[in-house]
Amino acid sequence: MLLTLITFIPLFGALVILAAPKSYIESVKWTALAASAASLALCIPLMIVFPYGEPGFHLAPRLISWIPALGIDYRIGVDGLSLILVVLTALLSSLSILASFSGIQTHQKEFYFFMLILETGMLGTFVALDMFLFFLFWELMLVPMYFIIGVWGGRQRIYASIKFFLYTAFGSALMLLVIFYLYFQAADAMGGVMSFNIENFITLELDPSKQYWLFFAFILAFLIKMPVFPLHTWLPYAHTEAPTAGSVILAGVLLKTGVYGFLRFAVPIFPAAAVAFTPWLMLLALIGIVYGAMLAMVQHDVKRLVAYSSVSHMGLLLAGILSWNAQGLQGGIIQMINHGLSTGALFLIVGMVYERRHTREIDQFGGLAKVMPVYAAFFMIFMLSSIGLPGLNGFVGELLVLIGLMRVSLVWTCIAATGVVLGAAYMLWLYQRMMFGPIKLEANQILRDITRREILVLLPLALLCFAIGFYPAPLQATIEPPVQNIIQAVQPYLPDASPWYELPEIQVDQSGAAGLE
Amino acid sequence: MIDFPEISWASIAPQTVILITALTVLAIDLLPRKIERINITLTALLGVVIALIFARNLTPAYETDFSGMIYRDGVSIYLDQLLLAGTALILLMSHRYAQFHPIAYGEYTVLLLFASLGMMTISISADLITLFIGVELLSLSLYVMSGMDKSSLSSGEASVKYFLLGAFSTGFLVYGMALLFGACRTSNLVLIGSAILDGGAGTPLLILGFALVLVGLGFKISLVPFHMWAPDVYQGAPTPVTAWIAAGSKIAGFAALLRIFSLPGISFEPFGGYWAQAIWWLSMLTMIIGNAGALVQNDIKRMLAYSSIAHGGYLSMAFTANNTVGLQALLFYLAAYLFMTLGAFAVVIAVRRNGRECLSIPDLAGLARQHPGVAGLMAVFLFSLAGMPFTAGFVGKLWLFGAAIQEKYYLLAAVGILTTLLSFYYYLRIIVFMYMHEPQKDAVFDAVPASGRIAAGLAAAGVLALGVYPNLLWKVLAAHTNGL
Repeated sequence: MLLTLITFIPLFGALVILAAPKSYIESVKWTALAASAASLALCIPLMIVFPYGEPGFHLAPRLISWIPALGIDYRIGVDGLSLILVVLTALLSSLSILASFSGIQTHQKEFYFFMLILETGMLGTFVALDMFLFFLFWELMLVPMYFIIGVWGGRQRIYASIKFFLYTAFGSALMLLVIFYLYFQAADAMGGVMSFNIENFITLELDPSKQYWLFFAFILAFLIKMPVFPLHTWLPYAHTEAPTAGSVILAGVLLKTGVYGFLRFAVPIFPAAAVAFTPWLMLLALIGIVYGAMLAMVQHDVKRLVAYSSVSHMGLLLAGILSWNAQGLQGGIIQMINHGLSTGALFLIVGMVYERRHTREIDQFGGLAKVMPVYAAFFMIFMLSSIGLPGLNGFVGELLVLIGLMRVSLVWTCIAATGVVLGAAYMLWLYQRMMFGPIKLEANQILRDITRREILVLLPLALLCFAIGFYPAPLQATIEPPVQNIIQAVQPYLPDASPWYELPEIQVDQSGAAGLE
Repeated sequence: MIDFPEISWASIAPQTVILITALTVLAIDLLPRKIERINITLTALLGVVIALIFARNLTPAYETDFSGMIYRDGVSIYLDQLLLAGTALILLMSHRYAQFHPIAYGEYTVLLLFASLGMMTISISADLITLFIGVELLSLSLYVMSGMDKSSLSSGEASVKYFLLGAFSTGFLVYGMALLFGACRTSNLVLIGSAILDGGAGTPLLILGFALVLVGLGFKISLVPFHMWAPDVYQGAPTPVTAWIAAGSKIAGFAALLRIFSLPGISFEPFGGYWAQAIWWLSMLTMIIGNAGALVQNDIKRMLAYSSIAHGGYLSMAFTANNTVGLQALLFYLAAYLFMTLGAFAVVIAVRRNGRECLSIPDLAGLARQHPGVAGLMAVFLFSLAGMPFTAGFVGKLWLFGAAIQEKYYLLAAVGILTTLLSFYYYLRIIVFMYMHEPQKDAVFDAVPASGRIAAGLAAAGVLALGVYPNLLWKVLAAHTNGL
């Protein structure tokens, strides 16, 4: 019941907004915030009652048969992985709605309507345990985001929104085809019981030769969403043209749905193919890391820079996952949260200055630290978190990813580390150009520092960055069972000694501890 | 003393009511005093509602009646209800349309009811003769209706084009029927079925007969390559007539295909084998060419014409799949198609700018600013046509593709899904104009009348209800298609 409420309260809020008369703009804003915040508030009891450390899915409400003719059920539940993503989604949604109070000046009613629908879509994606339900929620995210980019976006918004829509729809269509194939296979295997329950799909144990094609068609949707290197071209447009709230949600949550789908569905259903494709996917991830970072380096537009940094970070995250060991997977999953917090926050930061100056050209700024000290402080925190400074969340994730990779291949680790170094370079350079130096332009002289509402938006994110940075253990404990699950799924297929498994396992804990004593 | 065969009037009650309503409207239109449009509309609506009540209360009987001329099974009851619901929506739209266009409204309404009667005759026919009468009644009415806007040259053009090509295709149909009669020595579909089962299958006469019937009906449902008439006729005909050609005539065409190729009781089996392959090709071509054609259209009615062609392709997948799931999917998708197509046309009719119809897509620029409600409804219909989740179009497509995949027609399903993707582009284009473009200079959209809002609202309710909770219709379908 709790999960159902968390998922559908935003949808209910959206319907209330739809029914509201046009003149009630102020109440519409607050209704949207209230609906989103209610969902977030319910996450607290969720986190309290969640049985940490136990494998499997929990807190499932009573199963409801939704479309019995096709065997589609309302089947939801959470494990550690979905739990943290649900909380992240609820948090970022509330904050981006709060951040939109000043940024969105036209068609407010429609905007908050779409934001809330989007929130339900995202939450549903993370809790669905019926493959078909998952697909529905996955598609439900598409339409609101399309409108958010297309109606409230920047100059090239129409191009950006259509590109986003078509890329995503293409991936989903192939995914649907595979889902159907699996559905009929599972029905055969289960003696004619038609069901989209993912457990049935996982126990299917498909013939490896069949798995390859299916896996490829299946993960394309996730690779587009993440995005992985050659499929990333929709991202810079969508992120740059979207309004602030759209960019925050895109970077913070939507990209994670791709990784989530990969981990939750693709890997357990096609473990053999997942391992077989690992070198290729790893290659793409590594290209993404370096290529994204290099492109970020040369951008003139702040938002575009952050967008390309996302490509780089998502590559690193995927590389960690593809190492298929506890450290890499943990690092990858923690990076999902970190990237959501820090990149989401950076988009908010960019949005705040854009609202004041109506430009995102880096050249137009300089010396902002003098006129906007509080703003500069927050910017610094998130910038450093994105770079991965020790003590902040980014460090924990990146370190684990690199350790995980190191256990697999030294070469890959070196390439991935390049991305981290480049990341520090472009971020610091960006900060230097925007915040330090003399104030060259008259318009920047009179900028106001951020308001209390804006501080309220940024503060929770900053606190979380520190919290995860100083004490990541609870987070690690939460995701431990799902990580073990994934390892168990792929373990039988991992080669003992293949070219990409060149290093022996490092025994850090025992000998290292002994040496210190 | 003549022996009258035993007949059950109850089984044709909806058809009878529509006939009486049509004649009543004809009579009151002939009265010397000028009759208000609203009275004609209300009379016709009343008749349709009564017919709908009769249709709802029918019980399926799995045997022929009227000396083997009609067959009142669950499918026909279902189709009658769909067609009547469609007729009611069309009446609501026409009422508004006639306000601005010089259409003889009394005659128009009579013809509309006759067209619907023709469609409902097809749905119950158990004999080639009944079926042919239905096809002709429907076609002749629509030929005339296409040309009823006397102020518009293209309306006349549409009428002539539709008539000439339609008459040509009817020739194929009737010749095919003659060959079937020759091959099986009967025009009764049930007897034809048993003749084939007895080993008559595979004779050249029979194959040729079926092929010609398929061509004739392929024209009615505008399957590629028999689709050439559709864009011009759709564009030229008065918009409510276009809507009824798109929805009603297509449903009737599929009803005829169902009757001939899969009369329940005989099931798909005896014919299925031959036609699966032929229809596989037709469906493939129709999906590809229909969607590709729609991509480049700038006129909404033309775009919807190609979209309707494309949907014919998706629908005919059911005949290739040739299984119970396919039949149910077809029947479900016909309902979905009816609501979303009529809904889209209802919006096109309801929205006028500076007193003129908005027929080119850029004309709709900025509609969401002035009429957010109507634009929202249009978006619902377009998303449903494109097949987005939580709309009827999605569930229908899913079901159809599922039927094809179940029978291992993977390529067909894959092409279906890929062309659906292609269709996103042109449906989204309208949404882009409505929501993301500024209104054109000095463009003011006129107020949207209640009849338009009601028609579009009802259609949207149908689209969303079937999309969110398909069980509503599933139960009905399961009841009406059991025993197959």
